[in-house]
Amino acid sequence: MKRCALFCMVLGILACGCRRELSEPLMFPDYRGVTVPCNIAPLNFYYDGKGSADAVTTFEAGCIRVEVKGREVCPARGEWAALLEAALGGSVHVTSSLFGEWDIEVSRDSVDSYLTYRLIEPGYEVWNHVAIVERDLTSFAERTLSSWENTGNACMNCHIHKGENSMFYLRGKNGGAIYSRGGGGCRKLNLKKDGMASGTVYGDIHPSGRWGVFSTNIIIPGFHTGTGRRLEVYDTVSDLCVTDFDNDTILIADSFARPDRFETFPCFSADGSQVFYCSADTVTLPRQVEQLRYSLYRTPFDSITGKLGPQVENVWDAAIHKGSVCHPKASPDGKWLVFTVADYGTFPIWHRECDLWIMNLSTGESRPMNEINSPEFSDSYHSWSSDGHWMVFASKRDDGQYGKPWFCHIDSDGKASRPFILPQEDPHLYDKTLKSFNIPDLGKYPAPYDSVETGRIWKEVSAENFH
Amino acid sequence: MRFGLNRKRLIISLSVAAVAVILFSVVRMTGFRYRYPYHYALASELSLTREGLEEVAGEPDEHLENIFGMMVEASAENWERVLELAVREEKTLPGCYFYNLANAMMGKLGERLLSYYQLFEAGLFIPVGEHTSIPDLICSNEVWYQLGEMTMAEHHTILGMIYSPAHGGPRFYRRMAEINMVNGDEKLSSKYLALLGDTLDGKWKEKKKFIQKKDIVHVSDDVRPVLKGLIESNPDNLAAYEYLLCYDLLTKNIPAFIEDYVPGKKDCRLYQEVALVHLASIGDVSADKRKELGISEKVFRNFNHYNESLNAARGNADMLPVSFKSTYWYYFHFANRG
Repeated sequence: MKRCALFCMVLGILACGCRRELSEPLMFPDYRGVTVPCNIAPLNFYYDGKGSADAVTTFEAGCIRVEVKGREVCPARGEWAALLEAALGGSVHVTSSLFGEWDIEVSRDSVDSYLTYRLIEPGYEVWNHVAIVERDLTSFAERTLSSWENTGNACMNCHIHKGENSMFYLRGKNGGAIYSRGGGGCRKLNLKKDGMASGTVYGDIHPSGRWGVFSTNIIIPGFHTGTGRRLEVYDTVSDLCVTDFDNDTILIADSFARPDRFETFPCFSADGSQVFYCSADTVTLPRQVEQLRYSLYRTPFDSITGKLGPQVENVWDAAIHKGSVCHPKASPDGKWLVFTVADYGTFPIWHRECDLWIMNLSTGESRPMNEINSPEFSDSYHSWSSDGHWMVFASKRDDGQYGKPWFCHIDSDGKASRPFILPQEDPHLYDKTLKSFNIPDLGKYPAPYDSVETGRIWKEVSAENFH
Repeated sequence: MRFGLNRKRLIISLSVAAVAVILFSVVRMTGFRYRYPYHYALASELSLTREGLEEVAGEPDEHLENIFGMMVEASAENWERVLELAVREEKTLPGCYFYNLANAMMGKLGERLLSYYQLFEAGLFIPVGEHTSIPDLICSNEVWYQLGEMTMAEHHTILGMIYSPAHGGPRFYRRMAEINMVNGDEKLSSKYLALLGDTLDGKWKEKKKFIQKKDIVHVSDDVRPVLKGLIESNPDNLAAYEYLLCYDLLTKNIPAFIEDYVPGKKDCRLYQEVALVHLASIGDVSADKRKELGISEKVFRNFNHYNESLNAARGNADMLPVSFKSTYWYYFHFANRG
């Protein structure tokens, strides 16, 4: 009897241990059929389920052949680089004992080597232990640009690159906009003056580095009671302003700070001669939030005086498209404008229906980027590589909660390739992490500072006041 | 030879010392587990060591043990035990919060509300802000989850996770998995279940019937529309109904109470007492009006008695009979913020 019980126990333990092994095999991340830049780090992935322990994966390109055995498929960096070089403009052929065969196209266009993002739990207006990190896309190296450890657990956000210029905000006590121009030293700026609803929030830097165009926003976090909708963040006030980094001044034009309109998410065109921004009629919030729809506008920018306007052109009409636009960003080659469209509102990351759209700036035609949009969850916060052929965007497609960076190639017709997720040294990292990779931003050059320097600036440098 | 002996002795001494250290640690740990079982249980739920929990909450003592006990037992929905511990922690925020929650889950929130020291609406929904303690943050999701409001439950669970020293732990993974199962989001739920390394019991299925059918947008401290939505979605959600009435009466918002009160839906002396305050304020306590609001003769007689006693005591609370201390009228007149 005792032997029988022991046998049953052993059988039970074995059954539990083998449950995973007996399930259908899976592969994550799924890199089948993607196009990658010629300078990307190895696309590490793992198998799970039936047969995964004995899996054999082979990568072939030209005369290079790399074989990886087992669950974790992590080719050595040198071998991977040789594969990409051999497959340049062609493809790496992959054979898997579990999933058959597929190709990975290797584009001749390289992606900007540096990706910054904020690692943060997906709450709102609440933070603890936040960091802005810079990842070298050609390897797995990560560098912390600003850390909670050096800045009194301050909130930090919105890192943006423009050529060799970069900027992000340190919020709260000792805070300011940390601005590095032309790869030089950092300044700490107080981008607020009397009459502004708030300090600057969303914005962009002019190609010259002298000007910035920003919105000022009073941001309110709301909550949906309906399932699967979570947060609804909206502004009660939002206006545009221009900052002059040479003269420490802020310019506000009444026509872009109208009390009856919301104006937000400004960005410069590639040559800096125009500003795109989103604007909507004010409504009663939060009650009428579903009627809050932003259109996309374009206005001239005078890079001598820093003045916006006076002409304003509606380039994407919310009423016609029955949607709401945000986060426009022009491609550096001046050909395209990509933006996010949700059914309504101004903060779409929690809107499942939120998609990326592309506009041909020479024809004004626009379309949803169905080739990359996830049918289930939001795709937003994109950033261009400096040649205009690669784009990164934040997508919640994996689980609806945690945003991760996805890359796609944009060809000369504005068509995007099948996107792929940022590869990680540990292919299990996305399963384990409870942080979002917030606002991914591509840069050609590494940021000329690190967390020690930003910590010093936070502590020792007074913010320059703008007037 | 002598050196060899010394060496042997040294090895024996070191071995004895090592065994002693191990024994001491085992005895200490066992003693701790025996003395503070809830500290031990909560530390493990938060993926913390005993010392890690101490850093957040302070040295273990009986008071903390009661608070952690309420947190642990509420997760397991052992409401009788939660109540037992809450009674020992009267006049504390966690005590009040769990006292109210346990009673609501047992269908006795209104009946027992004013038998306990109330901290206005904070005892119903823990206010979350810059100065909220980490244990308070960690348990702030419980009421929303139990009432069936999954967006707020998830928001508060994430808040707890953000501020918890390990930024995670089985307690959070289980709750996030439950919330997302209730919402029908199995993909996200499976992420947390994988982190948990365990499966869920089926209790979350009970919450599915409470899911909000109507979508509204509200700011975080505006709880009335949320509770009203829960009741509209499922009129049998009596816990949400009682929370709404108690929120109104604890904030002394009598017009809101009258708007939300459905006579006869939940027979309770306290609610009749609030309704009488309303009738007194409009100057019509007629039999018809009392009948309309479901006010019993006994409550009406007691109301008259209270007013007479209050006049005799010239408004002095200390002079009133003790039996009035659990009436709404007493709370209405004498409970002051701050």
